[in-house]
Amino acid sequence: MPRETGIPPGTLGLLILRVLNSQSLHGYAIAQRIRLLSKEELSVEEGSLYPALQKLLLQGWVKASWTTSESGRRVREYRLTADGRKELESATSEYRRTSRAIGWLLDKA
Amino acid sequence: MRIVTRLFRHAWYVLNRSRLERELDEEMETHRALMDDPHRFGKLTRVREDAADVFGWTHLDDLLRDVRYSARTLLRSPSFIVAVVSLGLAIGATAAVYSTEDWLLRRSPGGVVDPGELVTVRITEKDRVDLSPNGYGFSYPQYRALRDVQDTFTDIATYGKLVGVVSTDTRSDQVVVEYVTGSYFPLLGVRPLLGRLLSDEDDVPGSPPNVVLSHPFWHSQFGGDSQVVGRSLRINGVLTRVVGVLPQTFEGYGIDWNGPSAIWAPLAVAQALGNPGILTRTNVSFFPILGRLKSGVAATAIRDHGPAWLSAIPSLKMPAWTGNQVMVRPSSETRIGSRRRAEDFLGVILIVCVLILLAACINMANVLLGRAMDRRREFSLRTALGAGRRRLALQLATEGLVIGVIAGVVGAVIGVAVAAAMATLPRIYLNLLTATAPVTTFGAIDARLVGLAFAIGLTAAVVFGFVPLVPLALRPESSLVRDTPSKWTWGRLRLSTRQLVLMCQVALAISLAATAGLYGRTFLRAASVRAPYDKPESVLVARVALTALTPAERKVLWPIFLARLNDEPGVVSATVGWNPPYRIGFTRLQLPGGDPTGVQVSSTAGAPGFFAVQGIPVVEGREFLASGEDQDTGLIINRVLARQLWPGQHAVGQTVILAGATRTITGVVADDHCDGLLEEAVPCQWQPWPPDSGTSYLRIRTAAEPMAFVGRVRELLRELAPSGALAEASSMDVMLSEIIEPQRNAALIAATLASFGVLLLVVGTGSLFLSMVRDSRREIAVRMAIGATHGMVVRRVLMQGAVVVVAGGSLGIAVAYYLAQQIADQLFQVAPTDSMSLVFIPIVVAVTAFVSIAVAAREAARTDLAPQLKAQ
Repeated sequence: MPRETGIPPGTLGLLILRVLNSQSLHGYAIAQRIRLLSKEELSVEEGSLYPALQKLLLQGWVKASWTTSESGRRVREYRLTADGRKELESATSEYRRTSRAIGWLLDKA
Repeated sequence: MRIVTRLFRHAWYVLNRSRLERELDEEMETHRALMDDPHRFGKLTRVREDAADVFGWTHLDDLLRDVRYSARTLLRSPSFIVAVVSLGLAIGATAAVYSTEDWLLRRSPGGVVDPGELVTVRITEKDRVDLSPNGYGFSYPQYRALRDVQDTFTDIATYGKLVGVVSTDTRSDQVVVEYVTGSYFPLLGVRPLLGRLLSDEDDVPGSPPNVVLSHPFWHSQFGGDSQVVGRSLRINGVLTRVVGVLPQTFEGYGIDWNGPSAIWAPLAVAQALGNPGILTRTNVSFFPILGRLKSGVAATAIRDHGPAWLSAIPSLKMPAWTGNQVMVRPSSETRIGSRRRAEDFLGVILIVCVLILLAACINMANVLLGRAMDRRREFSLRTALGAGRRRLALQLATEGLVIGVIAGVVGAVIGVAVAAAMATLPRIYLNLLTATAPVTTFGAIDARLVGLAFAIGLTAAVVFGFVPLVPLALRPESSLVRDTPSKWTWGRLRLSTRQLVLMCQVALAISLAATAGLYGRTFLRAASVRAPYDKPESVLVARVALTALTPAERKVLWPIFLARLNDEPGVVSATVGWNPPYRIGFTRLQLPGGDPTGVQVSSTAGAPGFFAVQGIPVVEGREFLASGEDQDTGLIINRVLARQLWPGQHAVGQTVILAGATRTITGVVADDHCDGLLEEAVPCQWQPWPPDSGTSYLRIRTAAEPMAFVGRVRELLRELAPSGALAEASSMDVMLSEIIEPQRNAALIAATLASFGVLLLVVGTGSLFLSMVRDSRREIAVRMAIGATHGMVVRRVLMQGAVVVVAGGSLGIAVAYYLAQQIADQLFQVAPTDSMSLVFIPIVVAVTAFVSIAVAAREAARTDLAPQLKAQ
């Protein structure tokens, strides 16, 4: 039984793109940042974070490079590409539109 | 664009897989180390697999596993290895023969710009195209006149090939010199490798003789010297200057029986290079017209209607012609001048190869169907274990792919080897007896050949290896219960897939056996043919070219040369003629006051003693007299012509009209097959040999080994005419066998190939039938358990077999009959309706098949009931 993460299905990629929009981050930091920015409402399951990152790499929306963190560890940092930025914009507006529509529907019904 | 980038990225991830997996592991380890509770991370293996899924590695792994599994299981079965290797052999042979045929007969010469617009125009006699399938060219004055009036082409050019002598201080060699108009190279659009090519400025009377070399000749004569431009070359005794070298891709426009051209020279200097009259004579038909079509003009329009400009040339028609017929050939049909032999031979071998390929395909389908029994169990088991139809179908497809790739690889390797062997033996399928330079078909070995081999391999694998097994993957669950494979119904007739396959095999075996029979008998007949020459092993034949001398000089030199040869110790007698045996021209003869169209006869010229030296019997009258009094009036004919013109009468003393002059028959000789030993007997005439001939063939009967005398002939020639050249020296028996053997070999190759196909089919048919009977043992056991007798079982199996043999056999005989009509031209003294081949051999094959069925039926009836039923 998977843990309850609070992340609606299909939105993990969008969340990752969003947190990478302002800065480059490694995998652990991405998970932390999502949790932090969502006021601890959403938590990323590690098991799905890495496949999602690979998918974004394959799409060419993010790029990865090895670097050393402040604590001196070798980490792999992800940053948004120009294509990724475009995707983030369109996915965000698409999500907002859908969520608004669902909101209307729930209010009316 | 996006898709392409993604595909590239996928490929990159596949290629860098192990590094990426390592990096992912390291990344996840770091993540775990940073977590307060690393156990919350979950299973690393699962994450790894999920990530692999994203990159498509899982599908790749499945595919590789299937490939490995298929290769392992297939290669474990010896019958499969035999099937796939014989398929590869058949693919290789088919691809090689097809590529060679395509390269020779359907591809435009290389190095030419827009070859689709190029055509050659010749003419022939209206409604009598069969008399000269290659047509006639024009005279040079006619060409000049046509160039001024024609409005169909952007420009026209012409070319004529003649044997010439290239000499240095130490040696003289015969080569083909191609004389071309200045428009020739600009029209073709060929680019030079070195220097420049010929243009209109070179083709002006009185201009210095500039020449261009072929790539092979540049290598053989100048060792591929890059500084060759500007060097001099002596052709027919005249010094010429090399101005350029052609690229390897351009081999000339049409190779005739003298072989490929070595040197290109301007037509304007042809007279200066020892070819007097070539530009002024109007009674020659030497020059084809090469033209580049204006846009919007179709080649067929010229052929069908004949351009008006052609009829504007009044002297075009030959004196005895009923009218002109225009012959137009696209550039793709001009690689070789004489196409018939190549078309016939390669066409037939290709048909046989395709039949063998079909046989090999059916054989493979057989082997795979034979394994179907075991596969049914395997597939049912795998379905029971949860494998989906898609997965099973994918595995079968992979097996098909493996078969296709193996067959393709074997086919490509064999194809290249066969094509290379064919390229070194072009004499078998080209008329190149007197070639001055080797002609090869190595151009046929290219990526197309390899691609073709793979395409055939994959198609065969899909059609014969995958499709018949698809029902197995689609309905694996039913196959546990049903042992009999799917049935094909046609009215009341129900046939299993294997019965259908068997029927095709019988049909193929019978048609191949009949073809093998026709060719085998042709080979035997051809092998027993003897030339009418007496002791040909004691006669030396050699071509002498005196093209560097003027006709007046030749007239003086030839008689001296022949006299000196006759005086040599060891020489029994020596003479000369225009042509080598069986490679002669033809002309028209008229009877005085008879039909002006006349009769077509094969024609050449012989000096006094021509028949005595060769040992050809003169059956009536005499040979030409040494005194020379027959020179302008005499004519010798063969028995065929004598019987045709004067049936039941003496021919000697009769008169005929040859080229407008009356000649009297002086003798009749027993050389009925003068145009080809394995061809039909044809009417022939020999006119007195003119001593001003440029090139001619010596015949010298020697007391000892004739080849030992070649050196002495060369010495004598050098002494008398240093600019003369000797070539193609050979003893008459070797020359005869070189002429006859290709035809014999062609028959032998075809017969052997067809027999191989029959063998393949017999083995395949036998094993298939045995496995069918074996598989139906349960059914037989059940029938016998409910009361069927041995006799009933035997009768039933025999009936099933008889349907297959009779239906397959009838189809086979029909196919064999059709094939026999197609190959009628290739047969020698064997009719295409030959009953031995078309009736007797098929009956033997059918009876053999029936006997093997009967044996299998007896075996089946002896089936022990208990174990069979217990096994259920």
